[in-house]
Amino acid sequence: MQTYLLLTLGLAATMCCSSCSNLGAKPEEKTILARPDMQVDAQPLTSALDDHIYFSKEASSGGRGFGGGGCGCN
Amino acid sequence: MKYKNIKKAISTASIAALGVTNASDSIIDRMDFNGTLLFYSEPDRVSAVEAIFDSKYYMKNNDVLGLKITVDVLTGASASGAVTTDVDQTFTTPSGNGLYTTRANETPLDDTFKDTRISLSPSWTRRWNSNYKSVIGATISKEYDYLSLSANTMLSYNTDDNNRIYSLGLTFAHDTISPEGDIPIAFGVMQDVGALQPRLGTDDTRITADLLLGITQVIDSKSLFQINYSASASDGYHNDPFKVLSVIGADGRPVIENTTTGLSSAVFENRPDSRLKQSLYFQYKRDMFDSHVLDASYRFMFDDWGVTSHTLDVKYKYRLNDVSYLQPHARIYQQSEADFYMPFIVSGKEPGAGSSSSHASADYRLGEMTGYTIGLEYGRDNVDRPWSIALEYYLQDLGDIKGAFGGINSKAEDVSAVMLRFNMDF
Repeated sequence: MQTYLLLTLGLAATMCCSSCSNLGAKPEEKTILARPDMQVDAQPLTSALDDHIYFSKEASSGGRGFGGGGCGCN
Repeated sequence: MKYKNIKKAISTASIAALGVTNASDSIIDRMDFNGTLLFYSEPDRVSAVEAIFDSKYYMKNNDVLGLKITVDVLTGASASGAVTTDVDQTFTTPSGNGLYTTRANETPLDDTFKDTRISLSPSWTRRWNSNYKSVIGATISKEYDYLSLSANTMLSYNTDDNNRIYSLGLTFAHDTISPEGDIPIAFGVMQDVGALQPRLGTDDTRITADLLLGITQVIDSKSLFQINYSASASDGYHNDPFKVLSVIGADGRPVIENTTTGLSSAVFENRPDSRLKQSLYFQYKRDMFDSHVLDASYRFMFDDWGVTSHTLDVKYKYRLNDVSYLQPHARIYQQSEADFYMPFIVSGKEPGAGSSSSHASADYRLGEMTGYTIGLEYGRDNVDRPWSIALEYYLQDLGDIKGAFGGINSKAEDVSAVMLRFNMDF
């Protein structure tokens, strides 16, 4: 079930990206995207803290990056 | 002015550390220093203070060297896994040297946790050309009873039109745990103070390999998205050595192991010695009205322990003016229970001590759970020294105790936490 769901989501992602030829912006149109707060991880230290907290309090981790870990968190 | 002096002092120390006596001889083009401080508090349970200091050195050859230092201090109480019942319960501390008593209808908490962790993470980033970038890093993390060593690398390819980035990341980690009171024997019965506790050895290890594949795509001049697939395979010791399961008698109350001391019967947990986690992560960012930012993400995760989880996270950066903003944050997390999760064991059905092929844990973090986080951040950016302060509230709704009978409380106590975070760029 989970494998099928993952495959479905992966297929959707692949289809999404394969139609990406119409996506994008020209260099002169990227003023907004160049702003620090428009970066994918605009607040990396906040993300690191969140990853550590939720790694130690929940059964899941990672996804955005190699989140959490490195501790015997109780 | 004060902050500029701080940065100047750090810069001078950094240049000296690199063996350069004259700033004009420096191989460093510029430096960035960021810090964050978190206060975390669960009422009557865990309190923690965590600080991260991150420094980045932009070299004249365009390489970037980084060093992230993390220090956290943990103290307070943590749920032992034993059930909440309508009678008082007595347990032995993990060290085997002390007793603690939990009153009726209160969650058994072991209040002996106290630990300090320090972690160092150096990294080296090189942009090979306009397309390829690599990051190589390592982390050493040490606390009283835990040592983690890891190495990681991330390779990314940026398409010629700068509209898409493909990423490949790998991490390998080796963890060693040396718990207070040593490693318990699986399903060994907790003994009285002074008696021989069921212990297997002083330490154990786990290795973990992580893979991450990602695509970041520009949608248009105001938005982009990211999709990541990640897998994490680990092998070795996965138990929490401080977690136990209550052994429940026919009356629905913990069996008394020792009628003289009142010690409740509890056995140490045992989890599988391997785990494979996989997840898909979607993130969408969009500029709103040429100044605000919507940042939304969803993660689907599952593993071979039977845990499935969904995480939805939304932030909205609402710009008040050119230099300040408010950022509300909401997060919803839902997980199913692990196959071997059980809130207690009925007397007579507990596996024998050392039954490594049987698995059971009453750690609530492996049970059904819905988590809610709400928060608000105020910050100032577009200034010389950006800073922000955030207050967040986190609630874990743990649901019902399946199979509860007799004196066992049928509803697990919710866990809540307040987080105060302060960020600053020096």
